[in-house]
Amino acid sequence: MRQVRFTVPSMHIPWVSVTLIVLLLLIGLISVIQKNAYPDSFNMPLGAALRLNAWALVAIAVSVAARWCLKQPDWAPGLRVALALAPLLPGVLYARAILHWVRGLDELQRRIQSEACIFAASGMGLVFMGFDLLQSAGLPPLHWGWEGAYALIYIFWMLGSLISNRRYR
Amino acid sequence: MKNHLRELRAAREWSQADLAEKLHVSRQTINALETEKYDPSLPLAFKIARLLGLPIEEIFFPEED
Repeated sequence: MRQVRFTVPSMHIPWVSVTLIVLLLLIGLISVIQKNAYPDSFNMPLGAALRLNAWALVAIAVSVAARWCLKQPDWAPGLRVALALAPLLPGVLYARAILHWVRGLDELQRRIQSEACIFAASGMGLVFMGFDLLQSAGLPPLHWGWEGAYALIYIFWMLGSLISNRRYR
Repeated sequence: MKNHLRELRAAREWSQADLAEKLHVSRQTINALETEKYDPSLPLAFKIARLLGLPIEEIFFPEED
């Protein structure tokens, strides 16, 4: 009788991403405290906040599941491509939720968010540029993963929002 | 740009929150307008003028005037 064996593939843990996600959760907590302290300074209704975080969590969950599934070597190439790209769908819905939220803001809040986005994009670019330059000096490459990149953007966006909000307070 | 928004609002005994609600903007926007940290867009300036029943130039004016 043929024995069927099921092996669980080992999980590679991207520590940079995990650290950034923990940081992100901490900053989320700080933002809740900040929102309670200055109710007008960070204009995100609870519904929008829940929708955004829900899609982000779905994207992370789908990504973890897809990575685990992709370790099975004998799956069809088409299925592997579909699995690899699966986190894009919640990612698109996450981007749509952000756009929906921004369109509902008043003109000052939109300006604050524009400044925060510029801050986040510039900060992200500078961090990656810095790490790239350090790698040319011999630093080992860091595996950010897309979760790490998003977490970093989120951190810079939160910082940008706080700085910009302070300017117009 | 300077403005008389704070005086005009106070004359009507409206709070910043009242004015924000009437204009469908955040209270932070009203505060930023009153402290002259933010200049409104033309549509918002017209909306404010219509609400206060005054011409725009009686509410907003350039710094040199």
